[in-house]
Amino acid sequence: MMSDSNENFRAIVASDDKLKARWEAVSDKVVADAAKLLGVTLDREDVVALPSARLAVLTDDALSDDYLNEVKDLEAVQEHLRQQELRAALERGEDDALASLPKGRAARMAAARDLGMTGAAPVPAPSSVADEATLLRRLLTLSPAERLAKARAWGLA
Amino acid sequence: MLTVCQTDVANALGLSRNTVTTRTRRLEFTHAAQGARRYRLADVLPTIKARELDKVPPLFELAEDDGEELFVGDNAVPRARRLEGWLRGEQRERLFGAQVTFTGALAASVQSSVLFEHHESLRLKLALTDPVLRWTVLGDGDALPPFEHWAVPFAITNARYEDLHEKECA
Repeated sequence: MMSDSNENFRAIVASDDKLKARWEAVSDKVVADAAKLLGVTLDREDVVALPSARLAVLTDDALSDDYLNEVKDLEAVQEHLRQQELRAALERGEDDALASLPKGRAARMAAARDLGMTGAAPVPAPSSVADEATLLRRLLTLSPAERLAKARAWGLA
Repeated sequence: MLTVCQTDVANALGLSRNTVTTRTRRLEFTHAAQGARRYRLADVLPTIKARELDKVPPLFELAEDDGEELFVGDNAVPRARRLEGWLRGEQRERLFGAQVTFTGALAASVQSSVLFEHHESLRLKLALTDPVLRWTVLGDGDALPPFEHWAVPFAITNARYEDLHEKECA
């Protein structure tokens, strides 16, 4: 039944250029907000399932404030949010979170990788000549043995 | 870096311990287990006479890696010059090629001129590293490092202000 109503909605939107423009504006906003506020990636298919998004397209009303909660109720998003929470708990070093992972070293590491814990984020190389020069000069005040590790940490080597 | 002890030199070159002791007298060394003095191969090479040159590859085989990959050590400029002075025709050309490649790789990898302030001494110190030493002295092409990834770490580790014009003590 859900997909039926979605079909109707799609048919209505496709028949009217004005509605099509509204649909694109609304769905772009929802996708962008979901990425910014919740850190989840939606596609347009997901947005069709949101009642407040459909309402905002078909009426002149603004998007209701509830739409973020509706996004959170989506099945795919819920799974994603659960993973985010678990990852945050693991990074805080909570024992409960650790216990929820599978037993055994290899299985644990695989699970952590699935959560996106693949080591430190890559460091971007300094973007300007002046930045690079400053970092390099600071680097050269260190002892030779310390330099390379720092250089890697600062994205220089 | 590759290091050798006096016994290695005596065995490879067929010299007496006394001769080796005399030749290595002025060289810097570190103490290995049992107090044996270990010298950097790049420092020992210039003590090898022309008639002994065919014994150089066996000496490379006896040399041991002390685990240091990039840092060429203190007082490097006079040591590098002594080594350069010992090289012969083809070896000099190989070293020159490595220096040109290094300069190109460094220029392609950094935007600022900070490391290039040290370029002249870095260019000299290049010969003191194992990969460039093997390539220069033995012509071992497999030893050459991937300069595009190697030039910056080498330069960062070894860049320092050096007196390029000091007179070497005789």
